[in-house]
Parts: sequence; structure tokens; C-alpha cells
Amino acid sequence: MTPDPVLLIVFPLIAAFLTPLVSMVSKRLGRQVPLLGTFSMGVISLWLLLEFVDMDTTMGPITTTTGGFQPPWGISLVVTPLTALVATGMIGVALYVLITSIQKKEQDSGPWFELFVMMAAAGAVGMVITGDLFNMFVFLEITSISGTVLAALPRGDPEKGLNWKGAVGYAVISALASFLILGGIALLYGSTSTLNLSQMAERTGDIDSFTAGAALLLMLIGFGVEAEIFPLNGWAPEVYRGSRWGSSSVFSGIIGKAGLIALVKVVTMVLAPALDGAFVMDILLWGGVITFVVGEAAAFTSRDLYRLLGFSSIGMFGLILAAFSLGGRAGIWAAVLILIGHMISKPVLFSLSGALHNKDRDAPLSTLDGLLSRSKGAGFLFIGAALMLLGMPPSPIFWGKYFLFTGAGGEENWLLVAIIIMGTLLEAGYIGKILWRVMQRTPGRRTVRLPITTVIMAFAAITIGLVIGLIPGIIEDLLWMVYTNFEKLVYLPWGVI
Amino acid sequence: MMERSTLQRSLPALAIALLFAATVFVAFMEIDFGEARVDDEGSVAGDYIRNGTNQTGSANLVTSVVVNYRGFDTLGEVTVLFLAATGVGALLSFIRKDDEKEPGKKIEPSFILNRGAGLVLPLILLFGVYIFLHGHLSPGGGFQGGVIIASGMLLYYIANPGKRGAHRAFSILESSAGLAFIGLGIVGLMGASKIFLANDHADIGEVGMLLSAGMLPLIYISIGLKVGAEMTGLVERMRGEAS
Amino acid sequence: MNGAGLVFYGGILLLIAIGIWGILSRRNLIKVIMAIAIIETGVNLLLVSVGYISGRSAPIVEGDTGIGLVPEGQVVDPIPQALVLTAIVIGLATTAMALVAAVGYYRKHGTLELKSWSYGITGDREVKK
Repeated sequence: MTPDPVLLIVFPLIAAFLTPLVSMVSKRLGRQVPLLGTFSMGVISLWLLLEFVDMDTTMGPITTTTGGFQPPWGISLVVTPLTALVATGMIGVALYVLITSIQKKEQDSGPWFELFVMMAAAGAVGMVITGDLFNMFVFLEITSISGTVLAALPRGDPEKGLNWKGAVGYAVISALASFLILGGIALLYGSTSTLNLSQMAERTGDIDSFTAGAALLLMLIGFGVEAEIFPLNGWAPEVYRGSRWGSSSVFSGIIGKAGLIALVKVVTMVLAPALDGAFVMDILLWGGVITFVVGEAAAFTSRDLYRLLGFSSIGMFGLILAAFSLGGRAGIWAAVLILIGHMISKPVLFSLSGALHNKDRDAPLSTLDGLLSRSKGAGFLFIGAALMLLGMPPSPIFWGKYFLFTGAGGEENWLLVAIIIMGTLLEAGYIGKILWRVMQRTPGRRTVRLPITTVIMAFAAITIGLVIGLIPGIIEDLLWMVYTNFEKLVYLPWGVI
Repeated sequence: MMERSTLQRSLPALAIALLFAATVFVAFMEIDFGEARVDDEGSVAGDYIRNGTNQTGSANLVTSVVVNYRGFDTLGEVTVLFLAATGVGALLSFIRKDDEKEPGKKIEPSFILNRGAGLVLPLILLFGVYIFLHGHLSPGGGFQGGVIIASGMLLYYIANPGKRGAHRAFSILESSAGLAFIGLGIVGLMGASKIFLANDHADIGEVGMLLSAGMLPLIYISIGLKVGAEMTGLVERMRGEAS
Repeated sequence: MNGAGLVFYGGILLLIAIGIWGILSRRNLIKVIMAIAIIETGVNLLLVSVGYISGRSAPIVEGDTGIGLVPEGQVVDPIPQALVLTAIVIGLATTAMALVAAVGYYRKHGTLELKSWSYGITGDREVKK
């Protein structure tokens, strides 16, 4: 029996409205309600994902509709293998953050952090599974508002002040971005008289080229802001620098990914067919490549731990976008593998950094010195996650980069290959730098004690990553389904459960 | 000096702004203003116009779209408002800690304001309720009605600066109304059509009557109460009595 | 392109241009947020304009009609109106968040002027080794 994908949204919304009520009775219980909501999301998402593993590759996406009418008269939700995978990953990141943030001692704070982590995930999932363009905009807003609050929450003691600089930057820029997207929606609705993405995909011939170009510009800027693409990501370093590790994980693991997938979805389904498809994909490709290079370079010169991790995320976003734009089986597989690998390794790195240094905004790299000798567990976990991020086998990112190389090489795009190699060298540079610090022997530094939740979650995450990387057969079927479904993106979601 | 740098920044900014606007303007040129695209064959809006009253029972077609056809969007919108109100409250509570020392200057409301508010307030609230109750019959609906109610409450707070706000009550109302909306949606999920937010559990009734359109007025009532409570709560928090 | 369209679309885009100019040329946070609000209004107007049909009226069926009356050919497009309804509320929400963030920024940093953001390649100098 296949669950109705609408539950992916209904469960977190119920939890969201319940949270203030429960908090009135008990603040501690109130903080756990979002965890429960996210957990139920995870169950549904995993279930949907496993449905795809059972199906044969010719079957289409899992769809549902709302309002009581079939699409395009009702808003549809369309779950493809790709979106099921990404959604599960996002919910996984949210669960990682929430579980790791459970605190033993009684606290008097409200359930804000937990609530907005869950809602950021819910909004992101909504963005990737919706079949309606305006609905995507609404979910984008849910994600944006949650993100603004999360960006404000600081590392260390909130009494000392919040990360207003980060929050204001994100709030203002994402507000602008949202309405640019709305402008694009106005253009597309005016041209095609529908908001259903599949129907729009059928009617791309009705869109005038200049109009499509303007819409592309608006969508690129709008979604590019969320996806942290250069040069629209000016807000991001300030957020990564000042906000708590959980918020940074949400931005790099959930919000940015949602923006990326949404951008790819809208462009490949509607805008690229309306214009010269190859040219549009080239724009995305080089936008991604530039983001990758600038991000990795900035990470390389970073002397602050959190900014380093943040820039690394920006770089990864660029790489994933480039992979999607490259297209073909190699490109899609590369994008998915790098995306999954990043979702697994980055939160681990953020959480370990957070456990080590939870006080001020800035954390010089020396925080990491001698980590291995201070705590074997933390050291190994950190090394494992960092190597996974870099792409040392058997990391999923290793396979991802491998496919990226074969894909680029297959198209004889040697410039691309060279740039990716250069970027990876930069990555190796700064990861090597921090790992060297971790493995130093520094006498006299105090030992580190990690909270048990961090240890368990980090260990679980890395294990999942290793399993995927070691036994690619496990998700190979899934990857095939992702690819075949991606290629036939103009589908008719008439199948309703 | 400040003037110069502002002017220097202004001119290129103006150029970029005009260029951008001109680009979008040309893009809109293709979309003929006032053209009857709804009459086209595949127009979703055209189908809504033709079938709206029959399928949803609502005389107000915009309400049909907002609450029924695109009810899922409205659920998202309600959530956005909820998150914003909650987020504002959460962030303000951190700021409040900073300036508890500053005493506010209380201005006593004038006689006219005092008596006038007492007279006018019930009318405003009634008007707001009327608006959201008749969302399926006349222009308006849950959001509009809720905001009117909130502006009435704002008047009340201005006229009675000493009165404590009823935080918990509003918060409970807000959450319950939200859950009611979702509940109505789940009824559709469990019902005959197995679709979330389907309008098939109640008699559609006769178009134009107050009791018609199945769950549409119920949803708008929830939204009206929710938005009213939410906006009032927002006003209260900014007023400085945050818990 | 008809004259009415030129006036409507042109006027709206002028409004949006003012908003964009405001964002680019103003350093005061509140003014930037105001400029964004202007853009939001402009975009909402654009969306509504897309739905207008000349000679037709509001999409509400009037009078004691009962089931059966279909206002085909008499009303404007209801979809953009519904979308703008949602968009206005969302605009309220985003503006509220931006303003609260601005208040917090002011309370902490004592100014509403946007200090330059360090994008970063060379921006880490202040961090001690």
C-alpha cells in the first residue's frame, strides 16, 4: 500500500499547530513535538522511497492531488525517485539536528529552534514534491521564514545577542528573491494559463522567447539566492559564521538543496524547452562551476572554522548544479551522489565543531588542534566525515566525482574537467589543513567530551554514508530510476492513489 | 559628503533599475492586457468559471479557488502567517530582554477615543465576522475578516493602554483554528474521494444561501478566527506585553 | 499591444523600478525594506493585471441564482485574484520578519546603516590565528 504523499505535509503541520499548545503545558514536551512531527515525515518519506525500489523502471511517479479535483484543477504533488531521495535526505538532516540537540538538563527556552527546523524541512519537502508552480512559491516562503528565525539563533548564549546580521541579510534578500520569482510566475501564467508544471511543460511553445528569457532571469535570481549560487549568496557567509551549528546544517543540508532542486525542476521542465535548451543548461553549468571555484577558494583562505565549512557548502552547491546541468546519466548520477554525500557529511562536521566550540561567533582553526589526541571518538568521527566530504573512497562523493569526470570527459569538455580538478585540489588543500591540525599532538589541551547524542548520530550518519559508498548496488537501482524518470520529465500526473 | 556618495550611488542604481524594469516590461508585452484568455480551450480558469458554482457551491469564484480548488495553497499561506507570527514573537522575546529597563511613556487616551472605541468596537468586530462568514457569497473571506477584527482589537488596545493582553487565549484560538482547518482537510482524505481537502462530506446546498458550499464557510470561519487571533497577538507582542 | 496595457504595465514597472532603485541606492535598512515592500506591491499588481479582461466584472455570481447559473463570458480570471490574496499575506509575513530582524540589528549594533558585508575571500583577517 502506498501512502499518500500529502501526509508529508500534513504531519508536520499538525505538529506545528500542536507545538504552542503543548508548550503551554510543558516546555520540555513542547520541544519534542517537532521531533515527533519530523519523525513521522521521515517514515512516510522512507516508505515512498522504498516503493520506488520495488517498482520496475518503467513506472511513473507517485502522485496525489488536493482539493478534491484532479490536476490541473487541483494542486498535485508528484513524487519521483529523485524527489523521494532528496526529501528523505532533507528529513534525515532535520532528524540529525533535532536528535543531536536534545538536551539532558531542563531548559526554560521555548520550542522555537525545534519548530523552525521541522518547518524548514517541511517547506523544503513541499518545494521539491509539488507539481504546481505557485504552490512551490508558498512552500518557499515557509522555508524562508523558518530560515530567517534559524539564522538569528546564535552560537552560544542567546542572552549575549542574536545573529542579527545574518538574519537581516537573509530576510531582506530572500524577501526580494521571493517576489522576483512571483514576477516570473506572473509571466508564465500569463503565457500558458496554467500553474501546473506538467501542463506548462506541454505548453512551452506558447511562451514567447523574450518572455521566457525574462522569466528565466527572474527565476535564476530568485532560486539562486536560496541555492547559494554566486553572486547571489552574499548573505550566506554571515549566516554560517554566526548562527548555531544546527541552523547552519539546516541551511546547507535542507534550504539550499531545496532551492537547487526547485531551480532545476522549473528550468528543465519549462524554461529550457521554451528557449534554446542547451544554451540555458550552459548558463546553469557555468554558474555552478563559478560557484564551486569561488566557494572552494574562499574556504581555502578561511581562517575561521565555521566560515570554512560554510564556503565548502557553497562550493558543493555549485558542483551539484553543474552536475545536473551536465545532464545525461553520468551528470544526474553525479549530482545525486554528491548531494547525498554532502547531506551526510556536512551536518556531522557542523555538529562536531559545535560541540567543540560553542561560545563565540568566530572559531579559529586552532579549535581543532589535537582533536584526535583529546578524544579518539571525536577525532575519528571528524576525520571520517571530512574525508567523506572530500571524496575519498568509499565515500558517495567519490563516486559522484567519478561520474562527473566521466561525464565531462565523455563530452570532451576538458575545460570543465580541468576546473573541477582545480577545485578538488583546493578542497584537498583545506581539508588536509584541518585534518593535519586534528591529528597533531598538543600536550596540555583539555580533553573533549562529546554529548552521547552527537556521538550516536554522527556514527550513524557516517555508517550510512560508508554503506552507500561501499555497496553502490544498494542504490544503483534507485539511481537508474532517478535517471529514467528525470529524462521523461514531461509526465502526466493523472494517476491518483 | 554624504550627499555626494548617495548621488554617486543613485545614478548607476537608477540605470540598473530602469534597465531591469524595461526588460520585464518588454516581456509582458506579449501578454496582451485585457485579453480573454479564459475563453481558450485549455484554460484552467475558464473551467473554474464554468464549473465553479456547481462543483463548489460558492457564489464567489475567488473563494472557490482559494478554499477549494487551491485550498492546499491556502493551508500553506495560513502556515506562513502562523510561522511569521510565532517567529516575530520568538525574536521579539530576545530583544525585549535587552530593554526592559526603558520605561514606556504612557499616554492617556482622550475622552473621545475612550467612549468612541467602546461604541465602535462591537461594530467593527461584527463587520469582521460578517465578512468572513459571507466569504462564499460576497467579496471578502477569512483573511479580510480576520484583519478587520484585528484592527478592531488594535483600536481597543490604543483606547485601553493599561489592559493586559490575553495571550494564552489567543494562542489557543490560533492553534485550534489551524488544527480545525487541517481536520477539515483530513475529513476529505478519509471520506469518499480519499483526497485531502475534498469538499464532499457536506451538502453543497443551494448557491447563494448562507448555509451552502459544504465545508467552504467552515474553513473560512477557521481562517477568520485564526487570522484575527494571530494579528491581534502580533499587535499585542509589539505593544510590549510579551510573555 | 494596446494602449491600456502600456499604461498599466508601464506604470507598474515604473513602480517596481522605483523599488529596485531604492534597494540599490539606500543604505538605511528600513528604507531598503520599504523599497522591497514597494516591489512586492508592484509584483502583486502585475499578477492581478494578467487576469484582467476588458469589459468583464468581478468573479462573483450575483442574486438569487441557485445552482445552474454560469457566469461564462462575464467575469475576469479568478485565479490571479486568488494568487494575489495569498501573495499579499505572504508579503506581510516576510516584511514583518525583515522588520523584526532590523529591530534586533538596531538594538545590537546601534545603527540602521548596513555595514559592508565581508563576502569573504579576504575577509577573515580579524580572526586570530
